[in-house]
Amino acid sequence: MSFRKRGEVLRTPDARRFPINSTASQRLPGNSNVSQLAGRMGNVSIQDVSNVRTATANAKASQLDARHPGVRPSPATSQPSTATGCQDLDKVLGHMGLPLGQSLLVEEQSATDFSSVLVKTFAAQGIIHNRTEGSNSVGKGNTHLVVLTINPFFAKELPGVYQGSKKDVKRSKVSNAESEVTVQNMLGSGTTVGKPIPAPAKDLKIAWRYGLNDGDQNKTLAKSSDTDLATYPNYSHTFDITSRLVPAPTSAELTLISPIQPLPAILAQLQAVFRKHQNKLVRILLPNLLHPVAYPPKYSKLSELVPFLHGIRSVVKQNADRAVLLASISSDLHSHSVLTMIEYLFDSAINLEPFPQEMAQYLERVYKSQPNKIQHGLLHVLKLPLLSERGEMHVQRSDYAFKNGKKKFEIEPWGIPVDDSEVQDSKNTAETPEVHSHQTNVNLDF
Amino acid sequence: MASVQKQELTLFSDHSVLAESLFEKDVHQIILITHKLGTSPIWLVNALVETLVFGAPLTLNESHSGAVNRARTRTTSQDTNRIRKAVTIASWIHNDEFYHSAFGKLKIDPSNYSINDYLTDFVLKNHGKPASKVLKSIVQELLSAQSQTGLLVLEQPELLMHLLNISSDELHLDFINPLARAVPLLVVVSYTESYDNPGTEAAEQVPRDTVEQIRFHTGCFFKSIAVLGIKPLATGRAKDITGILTICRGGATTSHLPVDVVENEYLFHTQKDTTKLFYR
Amino acid sequence: MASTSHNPAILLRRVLSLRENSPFVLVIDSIGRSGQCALEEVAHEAEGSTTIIYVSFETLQKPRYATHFVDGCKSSSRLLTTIQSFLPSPEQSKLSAGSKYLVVIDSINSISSGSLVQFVTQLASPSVTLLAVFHKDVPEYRSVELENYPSSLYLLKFMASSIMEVRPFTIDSAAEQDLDSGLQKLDIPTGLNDSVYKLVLTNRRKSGRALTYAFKCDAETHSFTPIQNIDSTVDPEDSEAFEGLTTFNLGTSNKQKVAKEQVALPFLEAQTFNTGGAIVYEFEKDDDYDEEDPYEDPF
Repeated sequence: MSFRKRGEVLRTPDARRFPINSTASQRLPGNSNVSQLAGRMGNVSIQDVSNVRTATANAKASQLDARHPGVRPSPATSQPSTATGCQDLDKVLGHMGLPLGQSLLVEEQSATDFSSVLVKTFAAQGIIHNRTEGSNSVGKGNTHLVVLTINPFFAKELPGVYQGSKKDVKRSKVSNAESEVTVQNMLGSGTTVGKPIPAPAKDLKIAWRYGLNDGDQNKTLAKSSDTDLATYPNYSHTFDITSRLVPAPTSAELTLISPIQPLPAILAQLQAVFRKHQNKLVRILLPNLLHPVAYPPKYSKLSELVPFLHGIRSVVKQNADRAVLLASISSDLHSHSVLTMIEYLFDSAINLEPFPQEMAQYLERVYKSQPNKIQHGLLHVLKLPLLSERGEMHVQRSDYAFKNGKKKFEIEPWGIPVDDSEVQDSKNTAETPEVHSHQTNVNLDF
Repeated sequence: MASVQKQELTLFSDHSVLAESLFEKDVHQIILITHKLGTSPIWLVNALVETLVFGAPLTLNESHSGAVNRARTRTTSQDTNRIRKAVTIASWIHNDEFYHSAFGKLKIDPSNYSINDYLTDFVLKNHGKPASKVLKSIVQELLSAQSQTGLLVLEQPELLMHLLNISSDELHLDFINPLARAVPLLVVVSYTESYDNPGTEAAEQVPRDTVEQIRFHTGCFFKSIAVLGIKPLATGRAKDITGILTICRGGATTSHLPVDVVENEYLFHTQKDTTKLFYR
Repeated sequence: MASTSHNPAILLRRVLSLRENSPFVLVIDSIGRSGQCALEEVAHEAEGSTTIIYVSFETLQKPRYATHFVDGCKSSSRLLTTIQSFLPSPEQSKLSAGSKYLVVIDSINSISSGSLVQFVTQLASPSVTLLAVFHKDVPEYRSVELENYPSSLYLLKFMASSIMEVRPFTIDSAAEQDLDSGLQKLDIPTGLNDSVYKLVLTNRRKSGRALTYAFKCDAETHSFTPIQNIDSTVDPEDSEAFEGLTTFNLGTSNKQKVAKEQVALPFLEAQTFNTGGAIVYEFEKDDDYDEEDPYEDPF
């Protein structure tokens, strides 16, 4: 124990699944990588054998564990769906998530980069799902992330789980420090590493680490009708985009594939991921599709672009029971016909339209006293997963507005608020908040 | 809308959806289905497939529960007195699973249709191969699948232009034409959201990809005896109406047929898996 | 001049029956009215002895009137040799003068503008009439080397001795514009490709001078009625329209017209939003808003 820093936290694996003795030795920081790798290899090989057997026995059965924390049935179609990492987007999609086997395209007008928030939370949500079952399941896990990007630092830029407001964080730090299994604490309590730790304390800690923060719990209490959180406790998390996901995902959790290789190579790598990570949910990300910095000019030709997207679509549909795809694109750069073709190759599509300067200024003026109410743009729905495919009409332009905060990417029904400064009447100032709550639901295209 | 009279779909002047005379010897025709953002043509394809298999689009023209019952009685009676014609579906956007589940819901027996899935692995199998060879092999596959194919549905064949990097003329001459001349009825399903035709007299130079797309769609129009166009309401989303179905004559002549295309405009409402038609 | 007193209907029949000396007849059509109707009229009017070679890029089965049916192909030179194998050689045509040959091409759009001139000049001759359909709605991609070369439509119009442009029969120009804007997006309304259509015949005399006539045609009765050009569209503000109606002065002076145009109509704000039916409402202090009352909501 001499090499361990005194204040360092010992990770406590979930005792319900793993005997503490065997995993504790794996978790020694000095040799954790080696043992982790060995463990992973062992797990994979065992899994492979069992999986072949089940696959031959029942090819149609879902390869996913029914208890996957990031999967729940859609309230609309009862199709299994997974959280996107943004609760409001989950709701807008009509399934409380993105149904497995479906793809979502996030378009964004102008040069802003709000869509990257959705991309990063989508990625981080997958990693959190993967870590839900305890930190030592990093190698084994239930979810794998594939990112088609040329950015090698993608994994390091993911947001961490929101820890509550500043006050909450302070309080939690104190209680965490008390309950955390540090060398100091252990020495103090007289326990040794090898001995089992009482279960309640551990559960609490895991809850803390993996998003069951009191923000969410309070919400559950407030809305007793909202049983979702109780039924699917680890389904969706809130992310703090100013923080970083620690530790950053490793290659065991995330695979980066360069999208500008020859197409057969991309597809082969993609399929290899599905083969390697049997029984896992695979979340595929295609951020900044056709971004001119990453993609050479030839990709603007449909004869390059369509095979690329068609191939990816084919892989997603082949693994429809455990794959989802999220892509983002800057729509201003591309002609209507190219964009239409791209949209067509996705199952669902939304378009973000940041407000122009005048509108942003107007909102700032109106919400002078409530800056957290200022929306940043409109969200247009073009297609919804499954629902549009079966023929329902779901084009909704200017029905929603989005706002991006530290804690949350929020989507709400859009209405133009009333400008107080124009209603120049001191008597009515008390009433104006009420007016705000009755925002008119006027659809306007700017 | 509950009080509004539901309408039945008819395409031809003999009050049928697909007239018997379409399937006579040495008669070939194309029907074009166009759809736009906010609509999906799957219900219309379902209706045509049902018509071929059961003799009428049961789920569209009747209430669902009654339809299934009638379907059963009809199929049993039809086996004896009507030559069953098979349906072949070729899709470049949906895999076979999609159609199996759709037709399964309609209680269509799998022996009545075959599905050629050109989504799964199409790129992996054909990337870099000469386009003419790929086209030829697809034509062979489609025609050998069912010697008795009465209806061949091509969903989004225009993707082939981009997947194989060929021109619209090549696709028409080497793919659509030989297929259309081999089956009684070819249905081309196409997404026309981006169609914006400035015409030949416009001075502006249109990008090549766009030109080829327009050429393909316009070419399909001139080959078709009928066009079934679906689009959402111009006013946007409505609770009880999904969109408009317009049935109109195509560019090809029907003078060789004893029936005519009956032009009509319907409002339709799709919810869950059922679609209802209303007069406009 | 004799030609101007020509009966247009007789001229059209002469063109359709191939009696007018016209080696290259161009049919221009659009999605609104396909040129098949014109082909059928020619087949109907032409003498029975005419050998009709039908070159198909779009037609699925041999039309009843066709003698030979040739499949279109990409290479125009190969197509040319195939067609010429059905045509008499120059010596033969001298001998068998009187027997007519008609080459029908159902869509000449498929022949690229670079090889168009050669294709047409090799086929059209006094004994062989070329009847080609050109779809006005089919754009062509022009490669860099043909950038300044005339487009196919202009080339064909220039070479054709007779041009028949078929259009849907519309009541007025406003309806036509409505139709065009819909067709531009492939929103095809009902009522097109009807048996009644409008045909605009441009006939070129030997000098190259063109005469244009419009007809209302009925494919079922094979009747052609010349349409008189009525270009007297009445300006609603034209003061002459009010003359003799009353003793009041209903006309507007120029000064009044200018003033009228400058009036800013109310709700201009609503018109600036491009979606159309937007409701612009501003809450004012006198507005009594009762959230309990469902009828109170102005929307």
